[in-house]
Amino acid sequence: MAAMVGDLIEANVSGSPTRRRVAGLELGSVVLRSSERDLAVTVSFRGREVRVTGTPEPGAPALSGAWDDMARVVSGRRSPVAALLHRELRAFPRRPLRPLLAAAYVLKVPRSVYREGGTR
Amino acid sequence: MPDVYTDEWYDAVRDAMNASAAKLADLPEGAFVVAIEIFADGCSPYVEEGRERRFLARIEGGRCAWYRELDSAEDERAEAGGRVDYRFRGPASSFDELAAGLADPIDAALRGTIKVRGDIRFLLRHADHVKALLDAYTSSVATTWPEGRPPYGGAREGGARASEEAAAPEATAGA
Repeated sequence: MAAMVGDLIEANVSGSPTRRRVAGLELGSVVLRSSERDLAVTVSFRGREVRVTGTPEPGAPALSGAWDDMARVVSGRRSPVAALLHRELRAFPRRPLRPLLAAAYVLKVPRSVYREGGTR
Repeated sequence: MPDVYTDEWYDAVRDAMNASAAKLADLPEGAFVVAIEIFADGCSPYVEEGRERRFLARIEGGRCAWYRELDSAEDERAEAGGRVDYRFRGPASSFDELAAGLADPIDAALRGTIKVRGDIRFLLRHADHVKALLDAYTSSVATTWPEGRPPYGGAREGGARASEEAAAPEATAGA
């Protein structure tokens, strides 16, 4: 899961200057938890790099949900707000909140990717 | 029932995938090629020690156009039309367990038992389609296992390599 999330973030930040800027300005960690598979990764914003590790960082804010639901949100098939309202995803916001918002933004695939790459 | 890893089995897998995809409303357009690399792990009798089996599949308009094994002399890129979009690589016993319906392919990919290379964003966008194809691969073909059926007992000679490749606990992306 760490490799997949890392690949996703790398593709998103390399293709989107705004996401690159957000990732570069942020400091802090967020845990992503695939609730039905008992898997978790930590996304750590370290200024010039984003590090994804295969263990949950204790005390970090977390997003939790089934892998399928997370895939729908990051690929734009489901609104994150709707997913949170319907409890498909759950946020466990501990301070600071900013890394959680930054992670949500950096993980979401830009719409332009699917418009440009619509042949696949 | 076809024997695993035979032409009859590949055809049955392709037909099962297409039957599963036909039930979906929103199939991805375009075409992509998937390479599958299965390496010996000292446990599966279907890949000789020190060898690999290589497969290619072409998906067109959400349907599997073909799925076949390459022999050792065949050039993958030439057979794939110069382009491989996704690559799945893992130990033989893990692939055998998938084909026998004993393991969940998404779980194997997320845990790193099977490595996935390629643009993850399109796999996520078409996750329902990918799941339908994988479910067909793992559950829809009645298969015979002439050399023995997984799960296999005993320790793997290549277990260290397999688990080493599976670990991959960290990834970084430059911001």
